[in-house]
Amino acid sequence: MTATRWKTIIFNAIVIGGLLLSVTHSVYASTNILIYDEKSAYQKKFFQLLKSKTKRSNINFIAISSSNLNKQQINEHTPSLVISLDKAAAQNIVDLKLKMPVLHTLITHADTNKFLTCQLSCEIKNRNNHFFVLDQPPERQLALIKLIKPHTKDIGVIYSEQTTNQIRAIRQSASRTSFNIKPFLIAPDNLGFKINGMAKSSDILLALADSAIYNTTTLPQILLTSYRYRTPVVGFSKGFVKAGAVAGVVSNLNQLATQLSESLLEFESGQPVVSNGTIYPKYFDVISNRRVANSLDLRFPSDNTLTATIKSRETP
Amino acid sequence: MKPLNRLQLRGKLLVLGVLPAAILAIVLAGYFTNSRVTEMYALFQEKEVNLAVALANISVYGVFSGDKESLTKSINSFIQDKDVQIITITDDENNHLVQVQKQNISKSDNNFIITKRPIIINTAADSDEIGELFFQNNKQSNIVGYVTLQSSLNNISQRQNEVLLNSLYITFLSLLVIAFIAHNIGKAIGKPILNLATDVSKIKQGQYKLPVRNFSARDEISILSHGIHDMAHELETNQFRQQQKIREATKELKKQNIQLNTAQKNILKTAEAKSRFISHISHEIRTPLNGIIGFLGFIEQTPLTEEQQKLVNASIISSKNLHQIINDVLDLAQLEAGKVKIAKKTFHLKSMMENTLSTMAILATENNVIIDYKHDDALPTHIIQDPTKLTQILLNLISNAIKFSPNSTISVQLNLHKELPNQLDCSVIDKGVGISKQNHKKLFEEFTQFESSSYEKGTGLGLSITQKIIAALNGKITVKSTLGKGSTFRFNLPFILAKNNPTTASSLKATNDELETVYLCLSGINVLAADDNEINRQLIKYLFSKQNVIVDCVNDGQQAYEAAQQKKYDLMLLDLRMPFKMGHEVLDDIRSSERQLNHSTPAIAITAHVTSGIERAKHINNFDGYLVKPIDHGELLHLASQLLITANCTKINFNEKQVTQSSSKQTLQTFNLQAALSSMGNNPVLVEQMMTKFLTELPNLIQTLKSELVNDNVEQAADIVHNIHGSAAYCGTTLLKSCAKVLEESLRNDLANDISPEIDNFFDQANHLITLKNDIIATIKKSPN
Repeated sequence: MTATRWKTIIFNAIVIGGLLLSVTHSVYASTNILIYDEKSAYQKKFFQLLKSKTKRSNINFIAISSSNLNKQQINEHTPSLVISLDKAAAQNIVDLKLKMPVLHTLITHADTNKFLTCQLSCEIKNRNNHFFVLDQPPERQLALIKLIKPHTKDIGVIYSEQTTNQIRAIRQSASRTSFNIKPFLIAPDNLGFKINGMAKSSDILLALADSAIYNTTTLPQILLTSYRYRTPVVGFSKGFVKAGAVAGVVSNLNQLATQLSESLLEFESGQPVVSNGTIYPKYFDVISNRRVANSLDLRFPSDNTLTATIKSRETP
Repeated sequence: MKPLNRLQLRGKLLVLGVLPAAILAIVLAGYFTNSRVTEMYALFQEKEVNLAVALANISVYGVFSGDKESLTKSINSFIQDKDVQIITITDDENNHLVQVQKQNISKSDNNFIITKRPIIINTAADSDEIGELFFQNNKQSNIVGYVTLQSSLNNISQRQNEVLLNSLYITFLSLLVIAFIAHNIGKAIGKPILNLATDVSKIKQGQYKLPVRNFSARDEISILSHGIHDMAHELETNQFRQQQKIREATKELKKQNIQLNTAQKNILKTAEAKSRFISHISHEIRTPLNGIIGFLGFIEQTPLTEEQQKLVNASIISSKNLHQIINDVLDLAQLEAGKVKIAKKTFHLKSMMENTLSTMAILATENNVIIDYKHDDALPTHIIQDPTKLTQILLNLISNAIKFSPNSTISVQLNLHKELPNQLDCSVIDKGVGISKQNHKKLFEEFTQFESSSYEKGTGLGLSITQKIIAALNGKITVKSTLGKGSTFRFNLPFILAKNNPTTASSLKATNDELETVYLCLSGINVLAADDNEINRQLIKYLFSKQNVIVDCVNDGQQAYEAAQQKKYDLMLLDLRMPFKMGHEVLDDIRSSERQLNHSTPAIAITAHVTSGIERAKHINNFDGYLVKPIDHGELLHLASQLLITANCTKINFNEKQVTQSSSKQTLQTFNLQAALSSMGNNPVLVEQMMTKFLTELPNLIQTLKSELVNDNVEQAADIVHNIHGSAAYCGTTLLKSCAKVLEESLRNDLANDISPEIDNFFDQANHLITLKNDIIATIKKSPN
C-alpha cells in the first residue's frame, strides 16, 4: 500500500469516526432544567452567558419559570440536574426535594443559612443541593484587608443570626493571621449603637453580605458612622464599594457563569458534584474606591495588582 | 390711512419704511436682550446648580468620613468661582460641617441667590448588576448632607447691564443706520419727487422757468423730471406764441375798436345831427306853419269872395296836410329815439272809437267807402290807456284801408281779446288791393311804398309809425293779406281797467269839443305870453281872446321878467328859447323869492322842440305844464283851466250856449252844426267847405235821381240815394240823412210802387235844404270856431 492510500484510509476513518461521535453525542446529550425568573434582567443575562459557555457541549437547557414551578413539570423532562437562579427558586426547589442534583446559584451565604439551618443533621437530606454562593471566602477577604491596610489589627465584623456561621469561618481564617476579629452581633433596633462602638474600636470593618444588616436604609448610616471614626469598610459587592466601601472582593455574572458552566461540564463528563453544600466563587476581582481611600489616607496598589496578588496566594 | 394722507411723500416714506424697521429693530433688540438676559440668568442658575451638584458629589465621602479638611480643600476649588460668595456643607441634619466664604463680602449686599443641593449617597446596588441580590430596597437613594452656595448676582447684574447697554447701543446704532438709510431714501426718492411737485406747482402758477435739476441719474424720477422740464419749456414756448398771438389779436382788436368807436361816434354824430336837424326842422317849419294855419283861419274869418274862399280853404287843407306830414316825420323820429311820449289816462272807449271813425268820414266819403264798426259789448266802458296814441293807430290803419280799398266797405272790429286778459283786439279789414306775400315783411319798413300805382298814396311812414306806437304800448300788430282780395290788420293792446268814473275821465269827446267850450274860469284873467315870434304871440292872443282872457305879450325873456315884476298875472306862458333870457331862467328869477309878485303864478312852458327826459328835467320841470308848438287850441285851454282849477273854474259846453242862443228848430232839424263839426274834426272851415260842396252838388244829384226813377233804374237810384245819405250824415243834415236811409231801403227792397211818400219826403227835404243853403253856410261861418 502506498503512502497516499494510507492517508486516504486515515482521513476516511477520521470522518467516519467524527460522524459516529457526533451521532453518539446527540444520542447521549444531557438535559438541564433552569429555573429562573424571566422578568429578572440579571437572570436572563446569566442564562445567556451560561448557554454561550456550554454551547459546544451536549448540555441542553430547559427553562422553567420559577412562578410555575412544580415537581411533575420538572420530572417530565427527566433532567440530569436542576439549576436555580435566585433564592426564591432555591427555596421552592429545596422544598420539592428532588432526587437529581440541584445547583443553586446567585444566592448569598446568609440566604443558604435559611435553607440549611439543619446543617449537619440535614446534610444527608440535602446532599443533592449545592449552593454556589456570592460571598467571597474569608481568607480572600482577609488577604485583601492585609493588602489595603497592612497594619490592621482589629477587624470588626457585624453579623446577625443569619451570618453566625460565617463568623466562625472568618475567625478560623483569622486565626492563621495576625488579625483580631471583633464580631458584633446586632439586632435591627440597636444597629446604630453597635456601629458606633465597632467603628470606634476597630481598625477596619469587614462587611458580610447580610441583608438584615446592610440594606439601603442602613448602609448610609453605617458608612457615615464608620467614616466619622475614619474606619474603612470592606464591602462585598461592586455597588457597596462604589457606595462608600474602600474596597472589596467581588465576582461578576460572567465569572459566576464560567464557574457554573465548568461544574456543568464536569458533571456532564461524569464527575459528580461534590461539595459540603457551599461553593465559593472561583473567579473574582478586587475593586476599590480611591476617593474614599484618599479620604482615609489609605495607600494601596491598584485593583488589578491586588487581584493578581490575592490570586497568586490562593494558587496551590 | 387718513393721517398718513396728510403727510408729504418724505413723511410717508419715513412712516412706511423707517417706522416699521425701527419698530422691528426695537422689538428684536428687546426680544433678544430679554432672551439673552433670561438665558444668562438661566445659565447662571444652571452653573450654580452644577457647581452645587459637583460639590455635592465630591463631598459625599468627605461628609461620610467627616473629613473637614478634605471638604475644605474641595470647597476651596469652588470658592474660586467669581460669583460664589459662601459655600456651606451641612450633614443630613443641617449641622454645619464646613463653611468657606470670600473676603470683602459686604453684609449689606442682598443681591445674591442661594443654591442648595443635597449630598446623596448612591445605593450600593446602583452600579452593580447583581446588587439587588445583596440589598433590599436597593433602588432608594439617601441624602447624607447639603451643599449650599450663596452666589452674588452683582456680576450677573453687571453683565445684564452690559448686555442691556450693548443692546441699547446696537439698537441705537441700528436706528441711526435706518435713519441714515431713510434719509438717503428720502433724499434719493422723496426730494426729487418734492422737486417735481414744486416744479408742477410752479407750472400750475404759470412759472415755466424751472430751477435747473441734475438729471445725471437714469431712474424713472429723473426721466419724469426731465419730461416735466421739457413740458414746461414747451408750455413756455407755446405761451409765448399764444401771448404773441394774443398781443397781435389785441392790437388788431384795439384797432377795430378804434374804428368801431370812430364809426359809432360818427353814427352818433349823424344821429345827433339828424335829431338836431329834425328838431330844427320841427322848430323852423312848425313855427311858421303854425302861423300860416292860424292866420289862414283869421283870413277865412274875413269877408272873402268865393274864389278867395276856395283858395283859402285849399291853403288851409294843404297846410294841415303838410302839418300832418311833419308830425309823422317827427313822430317817427321820436319813436326811433325812444322818446315817444305816452300819456295814459282814463277815457270812454266807445266814444273815442266813434269820434275816430267820424273823423274818417270825409275821407271815406271821398273814396266812396262805408265803414262798418262793430263794438264788443264785453269791452269795458272806460279804460286807462293813451287815447291819443290809440286814435293815431286807428286813424293810420283806417285811412290806409280807405285809401287802398275805394268803393267798398271797411270793417272795423273792436273786441276784448279772448286769450290775453285786459287786451284790446282790434281788426281793420278791407277788401282792397291787398299785399303780396313778398311785401308782407317790407310792410312796416319806413318810407315803404310798393311799386304799384295803387300804393302811391302817402309818405310811407304810416304803418311803420303804427307798428312802433303799438310796440311802445306793449302791443303787437299782424297782417293777413291776399293780393287782390284785401287785407286784415289786427293788433292787440293791453289796457288797465278804469274805475267807472266818467267825471274824472277826460274823454276824447271833451278834448275834441274844446273849441266849443267856454272856460268860465278863464274869463277875465290876466295872462302873460312871452315869445320872440310875433306870429306865435298873435296866435296865443287870438286863442285866448275867445275866452275873454286879457293877454299881455312880450318879445323876450327880459321883458317877461320885467312884466312879471310889475303886474300880477293869473297865468304865464313862457317860450323856452327867447333872447336875453330863456323861459326857465325867467321863471327861476320870478320864483327866486316869495316876495316876487308872480311867485305863485302858474306857468306854462312853450317849446318848439321835442323834449327828452333830461331836457325836461333841466328846463321844464319847474313849470306847471308845457305845450309843444304848434299849440293845440284845446290843449292850451284845457291845461290853462286845469292850472286855474282852484278858481272854481267851470266850463260851459259850446252847444249848450248855442242852444240858448239859437231857437231855429227847423234849421236845427235840417242841419245840425254840432254833428257836422263832430264828423269833421270840429273844423268849421272844413264843414263849410264840405257843406258848400254838398249843397252845390245836391240839385244835380236830385235831378239825376229823378231821371233814374223815371226810367225805373231803381238800383242806380238807390246808389245815388246812398251817396246822398253818406254826405248828409257827414254834413249834419240829419233829416235828409233819415229820409235818404228810408228811401234807399225802400229802393233796395224793390218797393217802387209804394215809396212815393218816401220819395216825396226825400225830395222835399233835399229841396228845403237847398233853399237853406245860404243860411246854413252863414250859420257855419258864424260858428265860434
